[in-house]
Amino acid sequence: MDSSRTEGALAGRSSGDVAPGLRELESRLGGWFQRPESRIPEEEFGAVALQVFELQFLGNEAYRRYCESRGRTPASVSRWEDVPSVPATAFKYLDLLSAPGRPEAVFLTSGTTRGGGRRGRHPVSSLGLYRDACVPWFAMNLVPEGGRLPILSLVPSPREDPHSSLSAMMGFVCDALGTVDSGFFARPESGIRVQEFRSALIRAEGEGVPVLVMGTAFAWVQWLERCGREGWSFDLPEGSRLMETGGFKGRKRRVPRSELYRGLEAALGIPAERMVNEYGMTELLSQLYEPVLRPASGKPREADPGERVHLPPPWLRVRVLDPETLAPRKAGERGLLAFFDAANLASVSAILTEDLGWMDDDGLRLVGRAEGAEPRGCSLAMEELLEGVP
Amino acid sequence: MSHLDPGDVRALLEDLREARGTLMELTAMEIAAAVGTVGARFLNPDDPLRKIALERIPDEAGFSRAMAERVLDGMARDWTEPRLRRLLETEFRDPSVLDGFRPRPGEAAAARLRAVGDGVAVHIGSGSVPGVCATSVVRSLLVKTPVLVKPGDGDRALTELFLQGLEHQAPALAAAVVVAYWPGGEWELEEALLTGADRVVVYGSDETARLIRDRVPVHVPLVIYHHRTSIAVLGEGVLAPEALPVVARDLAFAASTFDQRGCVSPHRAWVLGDPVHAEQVAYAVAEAMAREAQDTPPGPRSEGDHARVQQVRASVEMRRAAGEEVRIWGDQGTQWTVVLEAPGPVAPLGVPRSLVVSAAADLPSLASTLEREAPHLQSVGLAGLGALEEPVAELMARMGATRMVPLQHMPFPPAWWRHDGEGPLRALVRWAEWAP
Repeated sequence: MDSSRTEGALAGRSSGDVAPGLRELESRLGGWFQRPESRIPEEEFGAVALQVFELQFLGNEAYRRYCESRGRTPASVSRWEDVPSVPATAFKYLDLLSAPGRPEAVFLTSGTTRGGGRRGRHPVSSLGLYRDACVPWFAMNLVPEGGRLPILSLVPSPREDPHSSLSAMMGFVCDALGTVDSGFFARPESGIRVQEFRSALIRAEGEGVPVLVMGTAFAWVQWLERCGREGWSFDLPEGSRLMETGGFKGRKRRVPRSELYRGLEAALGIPAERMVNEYGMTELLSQLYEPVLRPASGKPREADPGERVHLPPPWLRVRVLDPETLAPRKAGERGLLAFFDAANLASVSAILTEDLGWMDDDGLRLVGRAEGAEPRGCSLAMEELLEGVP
Repeated sequence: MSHLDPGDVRALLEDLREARGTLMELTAMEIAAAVGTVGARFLNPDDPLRKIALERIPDEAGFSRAMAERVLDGMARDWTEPRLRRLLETEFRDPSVLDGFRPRPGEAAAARLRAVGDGVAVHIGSGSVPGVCATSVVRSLLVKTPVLVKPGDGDRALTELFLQGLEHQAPALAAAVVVAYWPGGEWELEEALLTGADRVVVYGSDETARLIRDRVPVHVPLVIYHHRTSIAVLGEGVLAPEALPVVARDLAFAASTFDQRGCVSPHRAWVLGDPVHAEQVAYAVAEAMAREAQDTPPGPRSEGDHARVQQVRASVEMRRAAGEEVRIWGDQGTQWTVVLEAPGPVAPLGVPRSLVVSAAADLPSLASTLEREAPHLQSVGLAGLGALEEPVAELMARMGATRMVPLQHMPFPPAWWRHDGEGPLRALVRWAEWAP
C-alpha cells in the first residue's frame, strides 16, 4: 500500500466525519492484534500509521493546532516518524480524545510524578479495542504454551480501581487466560490482602499446578518485607511464572531489580528467568515485555535482569531521540524514547516519554526514567513543591 | 575524609570538644579577623585557594566557569572581616556578649547576660550550591562552637578549601572544624553524629529534615533550613520603557544565578494589574534570559534536564493549541525557558533556568494565589511597585516570606540576613543570665 496521504482511508474528510474511518481502522488493527507473532511490514505499518495520524489530526482540535504550529499536517507528513509527538505530561492537562462520543473509560496516572500533583488522564474510546490489543500479546509473552492457568494478581481488580489501565488489563487477562482459581489480592487504598494471598499461594503449592503471579515492583517489595518479617516462603509449582511492572515511580524506597528478583526467587520458588518485566504506561494502550518465557530464539537468556531486552508488539514502534534536540539517534545510541502506538487510535499515538533507552538488534534496552534533573538546591525540593500546587 | 565508622565519628566529636577551649580563649572579633583573612583569599584573583576553587566548582557543582566565579564572588564577600564584624554587631549589638557576661541593657547594673555556643555542633548540608556549608562553618566559629560539617555533594570544594585556608592562616580555628563527606544513608554513622552533637543544623528537603528531626535527641537544639521557594512581585512601574530592560535583566540574573538551585532563586514572577502587562514583562524577561545564558552559560545539562524541558515545552504548546492562555519562549536547546500563564496559582516549571510569569489583578488575588505555599515562601524580589511596595512587603511578611528585596539582590543576601526569619548567629547560641 502506498504510504502517501492521498490514498489514506480518511482522505478528504473533515473533523466531523471520522467515525467511518475509525471503524475501518479498528477493524484493521483488530487483525494485527490477533496475530502478535506476525511481523508487520514497514510499508504496511507506515501506511496505517499515517491514516491513524490523519484521524487524530481531524478528530482532536488541540492536536491539530499543535501539529499545524509545527508545520506537520497529514498533507505534509509522509513518514510515521515525522508525526508530531505529544509529551506524556500533556495528558495531565488535556483530554486527548480523538474519536467522537464519550469515552468508555478514563484511565488516570498515579499522580506521583511531575505536573503539580495532577494526574494524567487517558480517555479510552473502546475498552474492547484495548482488550484486543492486550490479551493475545500478553499470552504470547506470559503464557506462550497456551491454555489457562490460575492467575494471582497483586494489582487491584478493575472493579475496585476503575481508573487504572493496569487493573483493566489484569481484568482482561484473568477473563481470557485465568482459571476459576484466579483472583485479585490487593485493594487500591489498603494494599495487599495478606492472608488471602498467602492462602492462595499455599493452595497453589498443594495443587501442584503452575500459576502466574502478577504485581507492581512496589507491591512485590512490600510482599517480600512481609515474608521476611513473618518468616514465610513458598515453593510454587514448576512452570509458575511472575510478572512485575511499574517500577518505583514516586516512591521513596527503591530496590534494584536484581535484588528484587533474588528475593522473589527465595520467597516464591519461581526462578528469576521466569520473571517477566512489563513496561507500560497509562498513556500507551500497548505494552512491552521481556521475551524470557518465549520459546528460545537461539540466543542465551540473560539471567541478569539488567541485561534483558524488552520487545514491543508489532503495532508499536520505538524511536530513540537526542534528549536535547530530539533528533533521531542511531541504533545502539542511548536517548529519549518516543513511541508510535497504533492501539492509541482514539487518543494520540505519537508519545514522547521521559524514559531513556536504546535499540539494538535484539530489542529495546530500557534504562528507565531520566534521573538527575531535580534542581537540588541548598534547601529546595521542587518535587515536593510541585506536589502542593494545583 | 572517607570510610568513617561510628567509632571514628565519636572520636572526632570528642576531639572537637577539646578544641572548644582554644576558641574560648579568643574574642568573637578576633575570630572574625582570623576567618576573614581566609575569606579574603577567595576574592584574590592571584591566590591559589581561589584558583583551585574555580577549578573544582565547575566539576563538582555542575556550573560553568563564569557561574562559578559569580557564585564564589557572591559567597566569599561575606567571609571577609568587615562583613563578619558587621554580622556580629547586627546580631548582638555588643558582640563581646559572646566572650563573657555583659551588662543587660535597660536593666539593673548588676544583671548580666551572656551568649554561649555549644560544645560541638554537627552541620549537615545537602544539594549542590557551593558555599552554603563554608558559611555554616563560619557562623559556628563566630559563636565559638567546634563543628563537624557534612557538605552536600556539590558543595564539597569550598567547604574543604575553606578548612585548608584555616589550616594555613589560623590553625587554632582549623582544629575546631572537621569536614566529612559520605553519600548519605549510612544509618549507624548518622546515629553516632546526631546523638553525639550538642546542636544540629540541617539544610535540605522537607523529607531530609523530617528524617533527621525524628532522630535528634529531644534535648539537642535543632536548626532546620527546610525547602523554600522564592518569587518576584512586580508593579506597573516596570513597564516604563527605561525600566523594563533593567527589571528584566535583574530578574533574569536572579533566576539564572546558581543555575536556579538556590532557595533564594525566583522561579515565578507575578505582575500586578492588567494581564497585558505580564505578557510584556514575559517577553522582556525571555530576551534577558537569553542574554544571561550567553554571558554566563548554564552548566552541563543531564539527560533528565533535557527530558523534562522537552516535556514542559511541548506540554505548554499543546495547552496553547487547546486554547489556553499560555505562551512560551525558549532557546534552541534547553538552556532557558519562560512561560506566560493565565492569572491564578501556577507551579514552577521544575526545569533549570525557567520562569513562569503571570498576572495578579490586585493584592487579594496575589494572596489567594500564594496561600497554599505560604509556609515555603522565602525571598520576594520587588520592582516597579511604587506606593504599593510597602503593602506588598507587609502582605508577603504576613504570609510567611522573610525577605523582600530588589531583584538584583535576591541571589546573595548579606551575611547578617535573617536566614529564614531568624538571626543566623542567634540561632546557634543559648542565652545565660546572671543576677549577682
